[in-house]
Amino acid sequence: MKPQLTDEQILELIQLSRDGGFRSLMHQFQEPIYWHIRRMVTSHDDANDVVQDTFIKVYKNIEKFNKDSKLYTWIYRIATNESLTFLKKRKKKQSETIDGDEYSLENMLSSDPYFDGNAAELVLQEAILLLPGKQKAVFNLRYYDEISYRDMSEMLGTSVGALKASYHHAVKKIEDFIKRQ
Amino acid sequence: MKKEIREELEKMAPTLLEIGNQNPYRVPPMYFENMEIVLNNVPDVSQQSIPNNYFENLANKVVIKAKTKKPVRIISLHAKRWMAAASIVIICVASYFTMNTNDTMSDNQSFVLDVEIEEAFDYLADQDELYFSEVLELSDGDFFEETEGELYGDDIDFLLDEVTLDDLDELL
Repeated sequence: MKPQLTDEQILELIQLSRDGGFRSLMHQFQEPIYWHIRRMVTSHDDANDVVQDTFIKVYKNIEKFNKDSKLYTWIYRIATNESLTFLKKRKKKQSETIDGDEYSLENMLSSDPYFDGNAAELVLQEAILLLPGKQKAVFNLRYYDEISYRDMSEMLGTSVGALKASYHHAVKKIEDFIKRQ
Repeated sequence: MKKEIREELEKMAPTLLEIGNQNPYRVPPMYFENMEIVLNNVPDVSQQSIPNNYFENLANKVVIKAKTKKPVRIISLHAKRWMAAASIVIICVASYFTMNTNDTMSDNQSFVLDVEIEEAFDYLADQDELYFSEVLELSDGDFFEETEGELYGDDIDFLLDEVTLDDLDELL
């Protein structure tokens, strides 16, 4: 179990030594952020790229961090935005490909050497892949990361009510998809 | 799974709840341990290095470049404004005439413009439109002759000068 530092401690470390402090920040957040991004973009290679972009942004903009919010919600927000941007680009690329096979949902999961799920989990992941970007983020943050609506509201800049509605819609869609299989 | 999330799903999606929220993905070995390499790829603006004596040589380089540059004709801002204004006026006038010629004139109208006036008269004469050709050939005097009994231009001035109101009363 890694020792958990408070936001103040991490920011203090960054002030003392930018690189050293940033290493502490990465130790603290790299795994949850990676998994959040991975669930958004599915493949490990894509997730690796988006994680790097996310932490580069964090590193470059850490001075702009508003200390009124939590550090983890700020980093999650950057990670979510980076993931959504990536998904948009991938969708555009997919529509430009003649057959679109390269990025098909089945291909993405079945050819992923780092997917260990059983048949039911595969169906669940396929259902999640069909969700629109922001709805997918809401579902993953609630279902897998078990984040409160209040923190999610800070991360995504959306009201708690809207997030509850979005999660509800996503769950219904997924439940229907699973039942149809 | 947290109690509140479980409770939400029990009502909404029992099948989904059965699958559970365990992570089906994994990462390559030592992935997180090596993740710090990312840091090495970040360009730190404050610590970027520059060649030795860069700033010392910069002034000399600029001066040399400035001296070897070809002389440039300087146009004052005032003159530039006039030139810009004149260009805009020319463009507007040209556009107006082009658009008028192209958009508002029919093919027949533009054709007529190219025809000499004498040719037009000949054409009308050939078409038995004699009225127009005859009228246009009349002199001013002919016109007055044709309108005998009516008063025109000079006649009215003359009468106004020569005939007083008293004379008119008498006439009436």
